[in-house]
Amino acid sequence: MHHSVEIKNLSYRYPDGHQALKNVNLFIAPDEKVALVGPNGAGKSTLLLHLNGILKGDGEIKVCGLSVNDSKNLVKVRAMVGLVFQTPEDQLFSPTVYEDVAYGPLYQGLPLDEVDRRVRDALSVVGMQDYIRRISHHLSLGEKKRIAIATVLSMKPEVLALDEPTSGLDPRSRRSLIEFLRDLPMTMLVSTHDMYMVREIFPRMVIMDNGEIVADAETERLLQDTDLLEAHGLEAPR
Amino acid sequence: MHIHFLDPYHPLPSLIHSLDARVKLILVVGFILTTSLMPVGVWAGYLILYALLISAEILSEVSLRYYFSRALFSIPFILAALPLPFTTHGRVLAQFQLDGLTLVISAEGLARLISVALKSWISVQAAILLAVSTTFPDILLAMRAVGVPRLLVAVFGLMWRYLFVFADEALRLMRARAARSSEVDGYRSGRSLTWRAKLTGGMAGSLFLRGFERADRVYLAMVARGYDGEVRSLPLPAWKKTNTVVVVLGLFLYLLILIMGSFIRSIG
Repeated sequence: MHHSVEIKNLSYRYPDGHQALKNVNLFIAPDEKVALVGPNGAGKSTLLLHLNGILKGDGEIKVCGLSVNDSKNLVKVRAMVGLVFQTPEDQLFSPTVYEDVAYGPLYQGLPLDEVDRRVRDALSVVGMQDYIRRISHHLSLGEKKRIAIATVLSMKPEVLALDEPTSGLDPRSRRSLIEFLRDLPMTMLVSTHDMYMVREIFPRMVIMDNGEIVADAETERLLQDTDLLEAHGLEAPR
Repeated sequence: MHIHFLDPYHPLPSLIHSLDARVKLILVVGFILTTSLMPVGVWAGYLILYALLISAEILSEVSLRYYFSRALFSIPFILAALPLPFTTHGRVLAQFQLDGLTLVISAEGLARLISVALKSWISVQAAILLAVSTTFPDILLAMRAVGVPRLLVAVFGLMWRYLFVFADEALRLMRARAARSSEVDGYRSGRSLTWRAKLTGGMAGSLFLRGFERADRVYLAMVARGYDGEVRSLPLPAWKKTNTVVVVLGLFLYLLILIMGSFIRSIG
């Protein structure tokens, strides 16, 4: 059986010369939930952008057995990886909630009744079915974050890649998002600073710093190692 | 993930870089003025102006290739001048029949077109020379020093500051769209061109809306820090005597070139 995500010796340098990823190796099994933590600028978002070929570094990336390096696979890989950006403002580029959630399946060329079903299903999974006719612009941040996740769920991806899903949320929105992610049976790679959430729903944790993976182990074990956490600008939940 | 490549400034230790920004602004604007005042068809005049500019470009230590590729921006101006050979009366060079319509290319018209093309090519490169060798804040300072209204300078400054924010935002939107533009077996992806065009239009609209809201927030942040509609600025740096010498010499040289151009025109 293939890994959901296989990354071998991935390095990436931004056009301005900044080395954002250095020799990253990461394997994620199907249905595994992995947290990606590390200080700002560690390369977490850059790594997520590689999962569906938005950025192309040196090295090998396979998602569900398909090589991302092969540009022919790119559009297929994008159907398999649901990448949710940190700022929902970027994710929600259509005027209404319906149009935004429908974008992925519409682009894939699915028939309209199937698209409609996908939109309703995805919105009900995130508990936002009543927002279907709303205008994205007028929603609160918590609502936007949920709808941003629905915009990729409607493509029925295999892997969910989320960039800081709980940042900026009030406690209640955060709590409901955590419970929702915990109960969602999918392969997940989630970049975050929310160590409480990491402890709660991610059995495995990957620490990145300065473009490198510095630790990759069970969350509970890494959370005990306060020296390691401190060395990489992190803090264990009390 | 930011856009840096928009900023044309190259930090280099060249002679051109070390000139005072005010001197450069005056000389570049004067140069562009001289170029546009140079009479039509005085090829020697264009040659001298371009030689002068190329020398400055070489002194700036930025590769000439960079100047040439950026100067392609002048092409739209040249396009606007394309009808000139057909609309100017003069000695007939060629004549075609097109659906009963007679098109005449005149020598005078052609000379005008080539002059306009050369003028835009040279002027755009002069502006690039300024942008390559001077940081934008310095250019703003120079504008203020030569008497451009402060409010206008402040608008330029804000535009420069937020152009990058805006470009970053557009880049992130396009990335989000690319991330969800996928294909599954058995269906043709991409839908119709009109559907995609409508979507892109929506994205442009939301970008505009956000720009509008951001302008509001920026204004409020300025008001919160005491902005009262009056733009105040830091004092200008001291003006050296050598600056005066360089400016006077430069402007005098432009005047000489112009006089020479008019002279060649009157005898030719």
